[in-house]
Amino acid sequence: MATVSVFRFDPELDERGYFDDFHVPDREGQTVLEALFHILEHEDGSIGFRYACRGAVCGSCAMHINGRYRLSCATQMADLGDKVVIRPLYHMPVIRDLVVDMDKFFEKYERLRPWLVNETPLGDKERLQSPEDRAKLDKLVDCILCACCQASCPFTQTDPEYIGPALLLKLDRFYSDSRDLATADRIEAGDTEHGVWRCHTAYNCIEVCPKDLNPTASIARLKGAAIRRQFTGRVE
Amino acid sequence: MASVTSSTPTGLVPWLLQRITGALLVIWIAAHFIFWHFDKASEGQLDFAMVSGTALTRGAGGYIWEMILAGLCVYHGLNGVRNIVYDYVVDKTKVSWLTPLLWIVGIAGFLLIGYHLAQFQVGH
Repeated sequence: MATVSVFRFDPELDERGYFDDFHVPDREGQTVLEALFHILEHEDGSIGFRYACRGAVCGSCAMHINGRYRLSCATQMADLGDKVVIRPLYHMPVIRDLVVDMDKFFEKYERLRPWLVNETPLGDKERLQSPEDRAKLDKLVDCILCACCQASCPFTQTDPEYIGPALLLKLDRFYSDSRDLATADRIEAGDTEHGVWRCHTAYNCIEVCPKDLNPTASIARLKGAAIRRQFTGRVE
Repeated sequence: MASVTSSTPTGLVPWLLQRITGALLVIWIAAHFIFWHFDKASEGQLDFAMVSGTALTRGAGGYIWEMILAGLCVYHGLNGVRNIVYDYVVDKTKVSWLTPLLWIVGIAGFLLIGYHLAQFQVGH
């Protein structure tokens, strides 16, 4: 039997958040998300949390679990011991309990134009890419926008306008794509006071990423591109 | 493509200079410690008299060397202050006065250091 402390907050009723303790029976292979379902079904039907795919693909169920940002669907209860403390993602307003408001996050994402920009006419086939160029995107396309890195970054707290590690990695995903023709715009989008220069390489983003991605390296790549453009005029 | 924000300047130059001055400071401070705290300190007590006496014998080269160290320290330190403030202030236009102020403080501090170091050169 594990004791699960869940952060509770209803903005219409509560002045501040608090924790409710629940007891969840041990079960082999049980994930934190399943433990939350157990609580929902057997102990408190009012608990709020976000989920979708249950397969570590959608990124919806990211939470702060026992001091670390994780995907609740991919975290085994057996690995956490008898006491499990679950909080919502930091640096984002809490809508209710474990559900945070990600509107700002996705607004910033949309402004980066996260799609392939290439106005040249498409020929008979799809836009081809060499295996070497495709390999540059191997890790970058794995980001599921769970926002664990965004929540762990100290500078998304101090500067809410900071684009943040997840979105800068996404920016790098299109900057690094040989088929994308908006390279100068990609560099410019990151080259702002709220962009790559706000990153002070705390490396939290690398530590917490459930997909083992490296947003710091992406940010460094965008910094390098901005410096080359500034001093040599080269856009590459 | 519209940037997430359209702040100007972008922060590139202060970021780059912070790294360059940081890297140079490693060299200059190491040289400073080796010269004063290991080499000179082994010759006797490292006090004001020794520093001023040694400075007299080092001439313009020593003066320039120390002024470069002073410049690096002043820029790196004050740019760090700017960075901290910019980390916490979302609307950068509200602190548009900060960079000119820090430049004034920095130049004044640099000149003050230069004036005092020059006193050694003229034998005070």
